Amino acid sequence: MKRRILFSVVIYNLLFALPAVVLLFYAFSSMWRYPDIIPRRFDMHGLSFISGEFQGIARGLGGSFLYSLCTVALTFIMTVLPASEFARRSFPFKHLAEGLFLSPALIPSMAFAAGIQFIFIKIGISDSTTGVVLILSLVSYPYMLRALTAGFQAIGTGYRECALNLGSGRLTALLRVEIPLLVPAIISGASVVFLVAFSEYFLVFLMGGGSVPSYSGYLFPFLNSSDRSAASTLTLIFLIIPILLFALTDGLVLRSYRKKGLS
Amino acid sequence: MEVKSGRSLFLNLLPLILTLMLFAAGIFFTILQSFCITGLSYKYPSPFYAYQALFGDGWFFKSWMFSMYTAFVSAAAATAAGAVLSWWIWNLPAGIRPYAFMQRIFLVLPHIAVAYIIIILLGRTGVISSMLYQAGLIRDYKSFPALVFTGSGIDVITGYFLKETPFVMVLVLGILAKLDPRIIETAEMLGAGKLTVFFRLGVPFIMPVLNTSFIILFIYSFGAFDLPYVLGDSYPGMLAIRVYEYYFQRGLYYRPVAMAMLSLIFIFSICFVAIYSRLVAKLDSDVRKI
Repeated sequence: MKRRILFSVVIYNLLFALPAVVLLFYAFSSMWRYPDIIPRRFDMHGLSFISGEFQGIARGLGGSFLYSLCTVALTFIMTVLPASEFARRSFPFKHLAEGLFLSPALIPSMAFAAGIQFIFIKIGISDSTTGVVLILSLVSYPYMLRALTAGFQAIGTGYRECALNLGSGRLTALLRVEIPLLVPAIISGASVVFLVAFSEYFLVFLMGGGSVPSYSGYLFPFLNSSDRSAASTLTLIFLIIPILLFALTDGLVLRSYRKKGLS
Repeated sequence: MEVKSGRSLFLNLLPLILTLMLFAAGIFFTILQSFCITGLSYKYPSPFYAYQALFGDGWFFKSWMFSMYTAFVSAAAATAAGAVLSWWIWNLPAGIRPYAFMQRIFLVLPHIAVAYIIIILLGRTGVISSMLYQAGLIRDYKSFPALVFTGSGIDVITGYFLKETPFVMVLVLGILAKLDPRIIETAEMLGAGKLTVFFRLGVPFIMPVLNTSFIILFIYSFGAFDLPYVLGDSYPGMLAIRVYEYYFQRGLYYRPVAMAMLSLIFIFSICFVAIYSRLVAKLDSDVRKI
């Protein structure tokens, strides 16, 4: 029985990993032709392509990292106070307000991005990182809002009231007491926001107008090229970098918790 | 206890109120431009020029129906598969559960990367075609149906299905964590079979999440650009691709047509959410709660 279950889990994982395996095969073989199931021979074409194109790749990745991290920071600043209100206070039309505030994640982004591009051109922030960060924040902040609201609900109001009773100001209570307690919620919100921003192609293209470097923009022309080895290697980078980043964040947080004796 | 005033509430919500104003302004300017008010010096025969152009165009209608079809099939399939797979994972022994995780690859991969994977899997000389050939099921790549770069929609549907199923699983597994396993044990002791347990206990429990996921996924796939753009289907093609053509490729004169399509997509999304949630609420009130 147990063996059968383990077997089914292995098959499940293999099925979902299959595309990544195909990418790996292409990355390490420029000679994979129809109808071979496995490449005839393996080579380093993908890797040598990366080292040759290192500058372009680094520029794209750097640009994507920059605007994705800025988006994470901005969405956090946008939502931290509203989240505390939604978690703790009841007020008239609260459900309606929540629904409205979550709507930018639901409505197809092209519909409002096209109008916003018009505004950005008028005020002179189209084709800039600022514009890209603003539009990405607009489509992704609902995820941060959801995560932080859940986080505030989980920690309750007790700690904050203690801090205020002991004479701390509201800002100190937020910065020194609540935000450290919110770290797990912040990380889960930040991961989603980062992924949304890092993965987006169209909005960056629309608002960045080609002058904001991005990895998705760099990768795009390769996806329809005949050099599948290069395209697959570049796509693998798109998979590996967020995974490394999440592992790193998890590790860092765990270490800081251990230092404080919290886990 | 703090004094809670309406003013502090307003101040705390202010960042999001400003954000929402930007969102509303975006929609406003999209709709404004759809009525040919573009701030440019083009002359249009009437303010409704863009809408007349759209409604006179059979291609637009076909593209709309095609987008509805692909969005519906992919969202429904992803929701169903997400529900079944989550149920399967939830029923695994607790020690093994964390090891069924590979679906997350598709959470991380961007839409453009998933589209690329679809090309190398489903293309006529792709991996699946190779496998069928080696298995002796097809004679050569020409007898493998052309699924990519054609108007079948299978490539778009498969792409969204792969990208969206893990998303549904995140939501469903989140809610299943709150389901008491003893309910299942009780049902089984009373003689319920596996299917009965799934359909009579599992599905009703996760139904609210399934409804939410279906709404999100349907509207997303209906209006999104990245994935169909890489797959490059020509006719009738997804709406977002048509918008892109009118927006960027046909010259500024035709921009109101793109804006009109976007306005219609926006209005459709709002109506869809409203009607769907109304329907679900009505169905819910008709069904006896457990």
